[in-house]
Amino acid sequence: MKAPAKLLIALAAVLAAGAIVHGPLGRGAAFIAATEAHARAVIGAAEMGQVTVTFGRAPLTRLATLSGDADEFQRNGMGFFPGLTGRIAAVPGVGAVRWSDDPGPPPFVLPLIVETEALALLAWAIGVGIGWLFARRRKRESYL
Amino acid sequence: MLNLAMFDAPLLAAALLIGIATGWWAFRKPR
Repeated sequence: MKAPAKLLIALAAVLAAGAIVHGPLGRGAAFIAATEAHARAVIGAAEMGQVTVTFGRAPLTRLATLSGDADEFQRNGMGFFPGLTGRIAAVPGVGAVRWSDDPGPPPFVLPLIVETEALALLAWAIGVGIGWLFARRRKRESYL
Repeated sequence: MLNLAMFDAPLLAAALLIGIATGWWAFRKPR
């Protein structure tokens, strides 16, 4: 078998592993659920209980959508005082924040599965580089 | 904001190991 064919087989295996971990094993949904719970806690700490936060579910994304009654100051703060938008954006795992009544299209965010697969492919590519280094090392022919 | 939990450690470790095996398998010189 030629090297490109071997690389393609392994590539497919890594993509399949990423998809299984994300979907059937539920790591993607668990990650979004944990991030959403964290965002809810931030809203609670800001005493803005009338505001709800949801994340993209179909497909799973790291885009937080806020909805509920909040004025301009509560949303965007003033000067160094952060509003809810800034506080939610600072939650680890949140990719982007929007309000449900924002005019215009929502900001573009990659689906979580695409981000997961990209990270897996990056790790795989680094591994291929390491394996290539091992494979090209020649046995010493002399004692020097 | 970035979250380290996004970097699913078992998956990335598995991908890295598969990559090392792949690189060695694909690029070793036949004897």
